[in-house]
Amino acid sequence: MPHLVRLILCLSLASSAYATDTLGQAWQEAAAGLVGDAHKYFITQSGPEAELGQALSFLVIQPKTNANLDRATELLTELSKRPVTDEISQAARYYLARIAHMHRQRVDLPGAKAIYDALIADAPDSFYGSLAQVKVAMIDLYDPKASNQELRARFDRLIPVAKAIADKSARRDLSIILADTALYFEYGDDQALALLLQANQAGITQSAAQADILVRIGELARLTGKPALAREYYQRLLDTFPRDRRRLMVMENLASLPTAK
Amino acid sequence: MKASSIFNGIGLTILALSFVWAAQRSLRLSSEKQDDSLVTIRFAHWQLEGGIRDAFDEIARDYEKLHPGVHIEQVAVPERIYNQWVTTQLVGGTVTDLVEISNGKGATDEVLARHFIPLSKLAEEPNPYNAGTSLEGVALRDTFIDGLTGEGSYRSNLLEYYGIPLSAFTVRMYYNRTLWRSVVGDVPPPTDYDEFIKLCARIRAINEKTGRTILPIAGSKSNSPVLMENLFGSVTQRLNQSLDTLHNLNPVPLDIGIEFLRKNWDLDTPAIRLGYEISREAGLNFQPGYIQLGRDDAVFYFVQSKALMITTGSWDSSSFRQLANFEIGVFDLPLPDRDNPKYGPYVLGAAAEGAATGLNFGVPLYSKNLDQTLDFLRYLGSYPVNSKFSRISGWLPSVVGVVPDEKIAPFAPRELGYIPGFSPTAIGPDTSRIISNANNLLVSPNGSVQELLDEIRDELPGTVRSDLVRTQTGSVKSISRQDVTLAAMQRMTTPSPQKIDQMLESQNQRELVHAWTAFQLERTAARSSSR
Repeated sequence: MPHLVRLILCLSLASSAYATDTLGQAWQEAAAGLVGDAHKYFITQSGPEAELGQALSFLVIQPKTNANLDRATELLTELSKRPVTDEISQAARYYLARIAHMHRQRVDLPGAKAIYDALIADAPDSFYGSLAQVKVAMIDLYDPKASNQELRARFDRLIPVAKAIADKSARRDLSIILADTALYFEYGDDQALALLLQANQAGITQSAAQADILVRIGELARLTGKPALAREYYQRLLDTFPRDRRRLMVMENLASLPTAK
Repeated sequence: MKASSIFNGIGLTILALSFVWAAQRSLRLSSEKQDDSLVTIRFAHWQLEGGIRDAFDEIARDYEKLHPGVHIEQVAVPERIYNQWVTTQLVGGTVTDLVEISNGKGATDEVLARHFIPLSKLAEEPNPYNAGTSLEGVALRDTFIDGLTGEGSYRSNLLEYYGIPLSAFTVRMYYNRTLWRSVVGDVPPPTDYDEFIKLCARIRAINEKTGRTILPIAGSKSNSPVLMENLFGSVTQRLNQSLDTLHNLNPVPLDIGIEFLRKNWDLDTPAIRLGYEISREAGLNFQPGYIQLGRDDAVFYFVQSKALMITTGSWDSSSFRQLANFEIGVFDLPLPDRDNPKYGPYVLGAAAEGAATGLNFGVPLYSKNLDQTLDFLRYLGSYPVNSKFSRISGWLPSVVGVVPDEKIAPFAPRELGYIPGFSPTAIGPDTSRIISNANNLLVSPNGSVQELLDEIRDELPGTVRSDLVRTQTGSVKSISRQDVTLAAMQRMTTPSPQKIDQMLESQNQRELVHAWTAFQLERTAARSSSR
């Protein structure tokens, strides 16, 4: 008997190790863009993590059909019923919002917003909760049906949120969104400059984006009469990106700044 | 009857000889393969231009001397079948150890993810073959003039480096020096736009007077737009900067399309009108009906001394020198400068050419000698070898600090310059199509700018809109894929916080542009339908 128990235990451990290994490999493949291959693994597995994998792979495997999106929605709805503190549940809720926001042929922005908002309320500091704050800001700020006054009020409400948000990536991205919004809708160059500085402080990761933000801070500082700040950021661009195509224009704008007293 | 027997005999003899030749070649190849002590590295590319294969051959022999026991083979595949060839070899697991992956050929994101090795680790390490040069100890990534930011090197969707570029490219005006001397005498090439236009007028006048039929510029649907877009882009430089809503000094075609919908420019904006005027001035110097002709026709006109000049890239330099039996000269595209009395007020100045790199090589997963292959790739991308490659091939170098040889010096990219302007064709294929369809109204002697503008005016708002919608569709696809990649990165056994952060930043940037474009598409549609 003890031998049989040991055998069952070994088999069960081996099988769970195999499953974990397979899931790990499947996520690895999905991360590398091989979602079709990952999907084949996910559908042979059971359990919440495999179901999350199945649902997500249904979002992009070809052909992209409503039936696939419906199946993903079903799986995610089931997973979202798990406790709100559970990471799989948070991911499921986030991706339910994403389906409404980005994946359906006919987007449902109010529907997406409602799911994001509920997730933010339940798990504001979680990975997916922070992500949701960034996404919902885009829905709010670029709502074509809202009046211009309402759009401006939403922008103003989000300024303190961007400052306070704990997650650094979300703070960076929300600050950039607000800065661009300030420029697109002409809410004020000073406001945009402050937000770009906030974003830069949170840390830009891609080199093209880094070069862009240095130029933009330099330009906005010059236009809003802050020559010392403009000089600092222009110089940083020139020092860090010796082959940037904008160098000559930056050098000319740098030379045009009033000299420091 | 007797004759047919003779022909049959000849046929059978040829067949037998072919069989013997094929059999001995096959035996020789298999005996080579059986030599286990010999490591063979094969690399495939589609560059059949003159000089390239010679350069690769010489570099391969150098590497073999440096690494006895290693044999390097290049496989040159015609460009026309390159994509299919690479796909077949990848699927069959018989692909070469290195594969050219430039210009999207042989390498979509999915192909790269499935079949190629990410080179991100290699990119961060110094290249040992740069020892003793100014690049010693510098991360490989920073030893290339574009910092490996080109599409053939870094894939933003996959957040990985996949290719190493061996060359850079620029566009210039080539001219037939021999013909030039015989037609216009010992006159130096034009240094500005007005001199260029006067030169073209002079050639046409000589043709009329003497009955000669020398074309000022060889045109085709691929060569001519390069010159005309550059001319157009020079007179819209200031307009372009006025549309720089985000203050990054570099508006992109999407911004231009949106600003059109927002009515911040239109066909009556002075710079746009002047863009068509300058295009017409240049267009009158191509052969009639050039837009129907392919690149090879234009090359034929040039190398047969039927045209004095041709606009094309540095990649044609070595081929032209081999094909043409005359002396070739090269000068910068003759764009107007700030002093030009007509166009000057709209111009900023000569555009920065940045660094468009190419001839990128990637490493397939199935390379049997991975370490040796990576070593050979580092060798190819090193300062001394890139210098040699450039000298022999006549192509521009891609490595920082390598000085181009005298004969390719005129192609050296202008690093310091202004951001070019735009032409409406940049907005997208639908807009480009209606302008191209009406091109004849612009460049025929009896045509005019007004006729072209009248022809495209009504259609333009619709095509700008459809081009933006198409961009939105592509962007949704990328954003959707990133959703899944992001979740997968999060759940991997050993997640990389840095990559997750990069993915978030990239997706949110795309999504922001998408939201702004969707907003403008809807708001401007409502505005025009309420009128």
